[in-house]
Amino acid sequence: MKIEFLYPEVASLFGELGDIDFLVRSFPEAEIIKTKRIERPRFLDETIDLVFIGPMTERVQEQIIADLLPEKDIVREKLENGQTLLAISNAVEIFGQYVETDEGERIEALGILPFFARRQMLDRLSDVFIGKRGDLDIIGLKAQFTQVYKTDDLPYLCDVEKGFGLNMQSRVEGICWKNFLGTYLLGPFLVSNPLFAKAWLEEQFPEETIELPFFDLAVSAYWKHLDDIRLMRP
Amino acid sequence: MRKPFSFYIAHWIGKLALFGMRLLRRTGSYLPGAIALRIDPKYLSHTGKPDLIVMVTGTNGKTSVCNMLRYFLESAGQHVMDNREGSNTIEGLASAFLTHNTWSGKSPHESGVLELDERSAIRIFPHVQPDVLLVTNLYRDSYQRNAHAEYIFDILDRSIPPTTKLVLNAEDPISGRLALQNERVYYGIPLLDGECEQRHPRFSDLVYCPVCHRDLEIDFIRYNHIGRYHCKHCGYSSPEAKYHVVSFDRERKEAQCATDEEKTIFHTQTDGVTDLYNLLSAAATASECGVPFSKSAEYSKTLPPLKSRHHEEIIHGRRFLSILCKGYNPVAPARVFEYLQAQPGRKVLVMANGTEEEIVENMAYLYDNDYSYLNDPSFFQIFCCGERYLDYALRLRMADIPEDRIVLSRDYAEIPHLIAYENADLICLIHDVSDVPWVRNLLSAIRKDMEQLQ
Ligand SMILES: [Zn+2]
Repeated sequence: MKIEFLYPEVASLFGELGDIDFLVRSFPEAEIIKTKRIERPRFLDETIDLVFIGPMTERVQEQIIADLLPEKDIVREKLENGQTLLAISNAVEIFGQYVETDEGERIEALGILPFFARRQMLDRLSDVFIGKRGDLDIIGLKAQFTQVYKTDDLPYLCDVEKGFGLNMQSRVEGICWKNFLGTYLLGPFLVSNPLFAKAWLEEQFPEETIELPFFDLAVSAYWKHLDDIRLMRP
Repeated sequence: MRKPFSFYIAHWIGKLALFGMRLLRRTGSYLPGAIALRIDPKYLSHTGKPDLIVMVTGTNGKTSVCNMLRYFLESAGQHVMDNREGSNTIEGLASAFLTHNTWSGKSPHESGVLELDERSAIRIFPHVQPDVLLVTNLYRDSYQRNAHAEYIFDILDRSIPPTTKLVLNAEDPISGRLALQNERVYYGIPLLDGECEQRHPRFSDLVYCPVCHRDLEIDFIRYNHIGRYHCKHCGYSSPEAKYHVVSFDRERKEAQCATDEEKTIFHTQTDGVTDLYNLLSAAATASECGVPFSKSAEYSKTLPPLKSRHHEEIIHGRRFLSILCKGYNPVAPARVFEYLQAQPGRKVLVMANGTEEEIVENMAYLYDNDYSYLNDPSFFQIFCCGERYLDYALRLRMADIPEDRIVLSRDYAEIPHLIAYENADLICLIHDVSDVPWVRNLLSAIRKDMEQLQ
């Protein structure tokens, strides 16, 4: 098992260090790779079981897109062949068609998945979140400058129960395609959602021994958190 | 400038609203300012201003620095206005001018020391241009509103008036590069004798060269991105500080500080480097406003303690500390943890952050803050309390803190009964609000228990 954290020194703005700690602990046997911004991602050239990338500043996002554009065919092929990749917040946008800026300019992204993002730097959107994926409640916090517009047939993570979705009109959150999972949920996402994390990781890695850290405590915290978010005024 | 009639209407109605709120004993300074700005959107342009306007902004330290700076200017005989009564947004600033200016809208003050919310700069600077602007530091903070340090940097960088002189932190390569065309001075604290470097901070808001974005050589890192750097690719290096610390005697709480012309001793309130930054930046700014550096040093001896932020007493030989510290901040709690870890003795720590109303959104801060400072056997009881008690406990476990040192107490009233006073040399309460009954009750209950011990 190999886990690659892409650019954690710049792409972990909103508590994603918690997700990184969580994954490292979940796979105690795994080889952990932390790829720096100035390095070439390892998953482009070798088999990496899980790739994680968190949120970054807009300037860094544009630099990363520019660096990855020449590799977009490799990234596309990897994802088509079932690469497991978890992207949080604006890291999701790297894999879409383009990011539209305040000025109406289009920043071409890798163009792999059928969605685009519209960025409004003076309009920071934020709210607590509850979503339903089957019977499971997914919780978190959203805080972002972008709204995402996807095609109807592109699968998503969950239905919105509280808060807003991919855009202010959307009632769905997240993007799931093959083994790509993108979500705007901060939280940190995995730590805050141990039941989802367990289900998703077991589905992705049925052969692996997964030791979710302090699972009982994490689940108690999750139930309490869910109750509290439910009580919060919309 | 001739003031339009709408200004006088705004000013008088705003002033009446202010009196009305006082009669009703309502605090908060948002409403009168908001009313004035509603009537005259350029109220801040039109209202009278002191001869000298100093503003203080940045992620951490604004309020403490404003208090010190005001004290230095007042001690030097200046008549100073401020916005300490209320908020640091445009409405709060408008309320401050409503409070301090005469009915005719004139300012009776020589100088103004105004705390400025980083994000509000864009709305305020078109109307009030500070002569001097002190930026304490820029970190990621208030994720929901302020996003990240680069976002706040861009807002400030775009809106700082070209005539404003900047006082900047030489060890902050982010805020240190604001409005590069403006006149500026720096203050700085070199790595002090016996100070531990934090070469591997949990996170840093500046990893690559701010000029060429390539890898950066580290001279030293104090914490997070605060430190000195240089770039071997493009020649960037941290700026030289005009005002700097030469040495810091933590035991005597005395810091020798210097400029090119003089050396002088400042008295600090605590032995922490954060307070030293606050003091140095306030004195540097005062100096740029005409108060000699050596005079501020003299005034630092009589600086009134910031009681609400850091309170310490010895009760029957045991230390009792209460520290006010922003909970919604990825840096401030970790600085307190670091300070506490360095204190001698066996410690009990009560983390009383967060009430029911402000519960859910601060989870990210938990994981950005460095809790490894608490993974030290000297902390034999760490209390996780309030509505997020389980999340705090999980965070501590993720920092490898053994279960038997963690005490869960959702109910604040239960905490004093669970503290093992007999085994403790130091009991510390960290809270992110002070003016609420449960903090006051908790403080007095712990103090009472300690007084009953022999
Ligand atoms: Zn450089």
